[in-house]
Amino acid sequence: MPDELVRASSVTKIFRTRAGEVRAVDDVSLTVHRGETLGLVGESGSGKSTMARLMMGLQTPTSGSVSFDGRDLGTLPARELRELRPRMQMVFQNPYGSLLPHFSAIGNVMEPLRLHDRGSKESRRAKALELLDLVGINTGHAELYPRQFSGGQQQRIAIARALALEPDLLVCDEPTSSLDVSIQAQILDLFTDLRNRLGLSFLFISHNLAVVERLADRVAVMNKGQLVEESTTENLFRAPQDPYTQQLLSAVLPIRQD
Amino acid sequence: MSDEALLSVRGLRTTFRRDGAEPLTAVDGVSFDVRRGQALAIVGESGSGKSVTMRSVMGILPRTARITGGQALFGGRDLLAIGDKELRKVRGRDIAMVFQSAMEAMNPTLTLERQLTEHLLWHGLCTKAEARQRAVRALGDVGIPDPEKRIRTYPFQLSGGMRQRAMIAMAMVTEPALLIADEPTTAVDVTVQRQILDLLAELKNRGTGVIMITHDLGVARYFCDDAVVMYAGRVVERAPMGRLLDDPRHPYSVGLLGSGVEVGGRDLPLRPIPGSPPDLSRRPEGCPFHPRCARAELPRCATEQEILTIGPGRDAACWKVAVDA
Repeated sequence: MPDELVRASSVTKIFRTRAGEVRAVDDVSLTVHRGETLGLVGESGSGKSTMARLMMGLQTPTSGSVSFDGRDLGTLPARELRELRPRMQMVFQNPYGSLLPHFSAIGNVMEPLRLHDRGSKESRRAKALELLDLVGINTGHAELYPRQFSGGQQQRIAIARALALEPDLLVCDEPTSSLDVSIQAQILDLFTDLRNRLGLSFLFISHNLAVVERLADRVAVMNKGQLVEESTTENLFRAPQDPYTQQLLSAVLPIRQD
Repeated sequence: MSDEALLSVRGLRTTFRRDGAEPLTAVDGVSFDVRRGQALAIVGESGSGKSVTMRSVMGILPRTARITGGQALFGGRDLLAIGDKELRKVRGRDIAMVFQSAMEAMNPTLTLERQLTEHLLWHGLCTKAEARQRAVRALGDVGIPDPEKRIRTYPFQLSGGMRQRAMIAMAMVTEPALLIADEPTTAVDVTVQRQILDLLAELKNRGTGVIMITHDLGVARYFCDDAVVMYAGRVVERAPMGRLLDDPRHPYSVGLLGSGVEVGGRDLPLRPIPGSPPDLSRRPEGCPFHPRCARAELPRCATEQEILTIGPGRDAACWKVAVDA
């Protein structure tokens, strides 16, 4: 189906540890459609980050398969997989940990372009500046190092880098969880803006239900490695079906009392 | 100063020494009261001085920090002036603390028994056998199943939620008059969050005063009675909890509420505060929020800031808000 960008079919991931086998993801099927934002929620240990890594092809499932744009990541030759890689990018929770500390902001954004041999040095610079501007970094600060930026600005730089190769899919794993509320709001606005302007597809992982409700078109809920519910955002928040989803929603503490 | 205040902090100022530069003022003239059986929320973003404020009161600042002004009256004594030896007698007995991460706050090499009985024994509050009994009871009180057996385990053998409970049990065991909780539910899952808050509420019901440092306004609303909002080392607003959230007055509080996302609020527009909090070494003159404030009026906002009463039990550090009121 051309409408499907990434599809995970009955994937299971088992980690072997000293304490025995851990079934981190247990027979989960998920699809992200083109231009869609799929929210993935769950508590710590629910398997949502493992699911993200499986869907990015960063880990291979113990059983089941993942396909990107109709091609099975598990059977694709390495060279072809490398060609697919630029089309899926990730944004992590800790921006400082994900940026190269000894590269300037612009250096960080140019690096994926260099690695994939895109354009000349001048055109890479121009592109990186454009991206920094797009995510709201003052281009006059392009030569500063990551530690000289605030957490929110570091996350903007990480997002600019993730966009450098013009991906189809952005996988965001708790991208606002380490940010203060006033900064979180700015980054959420940025994601909405990017989606509207670039037509990106998102897999958006968060334990924060309010954040997911705001950004996602559809929401999938994981608990103990299993997918317990999947629905349109509106339906899921209005009429959750699964007892675990209901429990999750009822645990939310409201700020305003209207 | 009200008679019922359990802890009364007035004009607290804490600075940090820096190499080759002026000391950094992290807390600048902070005042608040905590009452018996009530919870005060200290709300603010990272770098606002919430944690340094509490660490100043407890005397657990890093060596580069210095308290350069203010008082913290607790049971008729100024905690900032009594010295470390006296403070040690208060800490862990009359004032206890709960931190964000039990994994970091607890000693990984000691059993729960050693950690839960330590305060009781060190302060000489009871015999070893009694201490053990009280520790077991405290573990049971916080909902840890089979406490007789669990007391022999190490922190890493517990799940995150259970470890957080064990830390609360550790804080409760001496029946402190004041509990300081620094982001106590930030590291636990939402389904565990309310259980932890309900445990702390139990303590509040027994008369313990609580200071809760949090950035989570939902948690603050659920648990706290009063609130102070901090920004760049200063208190910018003081109000009863519900009043603050339903009707914030200081432009920073308004911005904080406008930035918060909430379930069910999908269609409400986000109103993020532009810019980011100031680097404390370059704190703006006057009101430190004025460069980000839509209501700022120069030159007055860039030259002065004082806390003004704007209603019953409500103060705000903004002359424009005082004019509104």
